[in-house]
Amino acid sequence: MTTPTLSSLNLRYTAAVLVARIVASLLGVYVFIWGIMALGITGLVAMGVDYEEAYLLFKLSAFLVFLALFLWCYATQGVLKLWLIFVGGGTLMIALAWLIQNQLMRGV
Amino acid sequence: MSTHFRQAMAWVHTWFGLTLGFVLMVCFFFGALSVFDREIDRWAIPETRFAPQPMPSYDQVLAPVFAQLRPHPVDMVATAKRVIGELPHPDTLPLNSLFAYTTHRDPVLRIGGEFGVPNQPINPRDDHLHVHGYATIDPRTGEFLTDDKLKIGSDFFYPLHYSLQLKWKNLGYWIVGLAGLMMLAALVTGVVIHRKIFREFFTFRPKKHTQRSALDLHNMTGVVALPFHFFFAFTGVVIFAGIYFPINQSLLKPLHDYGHEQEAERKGLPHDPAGIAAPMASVDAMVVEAKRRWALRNMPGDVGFLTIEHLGDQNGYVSLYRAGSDRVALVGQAIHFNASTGEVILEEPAPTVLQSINEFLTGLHLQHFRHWLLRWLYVVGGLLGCVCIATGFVFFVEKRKHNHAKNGSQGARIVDALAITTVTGMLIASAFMLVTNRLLPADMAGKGDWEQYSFWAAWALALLHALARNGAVSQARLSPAWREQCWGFATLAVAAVALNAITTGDHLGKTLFNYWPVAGVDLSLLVSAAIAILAARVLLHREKHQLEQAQRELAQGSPTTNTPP
Repeated sequence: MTTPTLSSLNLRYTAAVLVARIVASLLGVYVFIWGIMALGITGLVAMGVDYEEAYLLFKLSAFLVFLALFLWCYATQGVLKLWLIFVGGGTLMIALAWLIQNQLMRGV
Repeated sequence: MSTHFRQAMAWVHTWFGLTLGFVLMVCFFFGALSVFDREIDRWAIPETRFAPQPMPSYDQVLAPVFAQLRPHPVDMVATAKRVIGELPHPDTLPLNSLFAYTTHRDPVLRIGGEFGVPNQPINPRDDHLHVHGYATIDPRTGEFLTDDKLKIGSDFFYPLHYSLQLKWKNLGYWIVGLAGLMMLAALVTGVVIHRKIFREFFTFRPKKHTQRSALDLHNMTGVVALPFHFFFAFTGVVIFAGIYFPINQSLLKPLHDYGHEQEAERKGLPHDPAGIAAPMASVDAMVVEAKRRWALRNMPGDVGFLTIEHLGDQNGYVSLYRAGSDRVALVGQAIHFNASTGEVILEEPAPTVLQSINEFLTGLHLQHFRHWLLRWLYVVGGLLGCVCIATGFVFFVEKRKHNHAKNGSQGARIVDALAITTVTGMLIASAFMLVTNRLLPADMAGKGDWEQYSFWAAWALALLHALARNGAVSQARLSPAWREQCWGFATLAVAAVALNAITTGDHLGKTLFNYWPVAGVDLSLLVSAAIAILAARVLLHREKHQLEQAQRELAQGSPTTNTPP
């Protein structure tokens, strides 16, 4: 089987789309993982789980999720949805986590 | 699996592998050397060539040593920038907390501490303000070793493999983190691309042309050590997760800090000093008690890590951690003592499932256990990773160089030069650093800095040499720089061994079977030199063959290149 070169891929994606995909696969997913960690930890703490335990769970799984989502960015068609899901979803989760944290700290 | 999917994965493999492969070479090679970092330290600092020592007596040896410890001048300067007003004289700052750390491979002991600062921070949220002091001592006498002597193994090669020694804004950590993630991606995509994974396990055709044998070797080394590569890339990024996702210090800081205070309260370990001075009880007696308790738990062992918090205060406590020489998980099983009464405050409970997984993962990467065969297997695994990445480069170049030669593209030529720099150039830089270490006078001021300059200078020269000599690649031939740098490395490696014998008298006849740290480094250098010479001879043979072929084609009037040789 042949490895497609940059130029052969350009037949299907313009350079701009490719750059948008690469940025989404790295920075977009990065923001998304922040969201998962933040929402996951605050959610678990709200359910009574110890902070360190909750943090460990997401620390140990973050990079495996990152890897899967990174690869998915290249396996799937369309770039816009990547930005919507990762940047949009990530920001949303971060905001939610911030609200949950505020609620939790109010009781202290 | 659809063709689109496989092609997309191949694209990820090729381009991310190529761009971050150069970083990964550094991680794998210096990571492999780090398995024997302490031994390389012994080679580089001859006055520390003695047997590993246990944690010395605190009451007899360490207490007077810590009384002499002072804030480090470098950290004084850094802290001065964070506070309002002038810092007091370093001699007047009180030592608030301290640590001592050793492993079963350390003749010398690393100690350090935090000195309190009366000044207010410039940034009110800067709540962790103190000046660090650190030193290396001879645990037999309590004598301080000069700060100038660079531990080439544990303070240069080891941090190089995870930080690239790029300290600005932790940039090196981020590049390595990205490379680690891409290593994981390269492994997954590599498996996707090569469906016949089990056949490739046994396929190596060295007699075929370079492109085919490079790919065989790339697949074989990738598959043979697949779990090893995956595991090390994965645990590597997990270890520094706190840097890549600093969520505890930013977004979730309030929740994190609150959780910490709660935990400290539950454990009964005072978070803050009481402000009332109190004398120290005997730490040696605490060590005896800790060992008794470890033995009761059926894990007799020695102290690997000792810390004291709130030193000289009524709230002070001593924490003793067991050395992990006999297990994968690192130091652990901490027992905390009240510093002034000597009573046990807390024996840490068994780790939770997640904590055990975390300890196991980090421990397996950092390998502090005493198992020499396994340590060597780590080296082999790391070097297989290097072979896998290097053959990836070679395959990339071989596959494209004929095309690039025809259409005048410089791609293959540049990649080849970078590959030479990261494979043989990296070896040259390392060997040159060892040679410099033996040539510079032992008591020279700033010797460690010069050793580091020599490393980077040699590497930069190797890059220039590779760029200058690889015109052959643009004619679809092998660059002579590969062969020449093999000879360069072999010469430097043999010179390093010879210089060690001349300057310290510790030649192989004396160290073999008597002092393995130095004998091991010497032998490794000689074996590497022999392999480099062998490689140089094979390369010469290939170069000649290619040149003859090119001349024959030229004579037949069908030049393969668009530029005359």
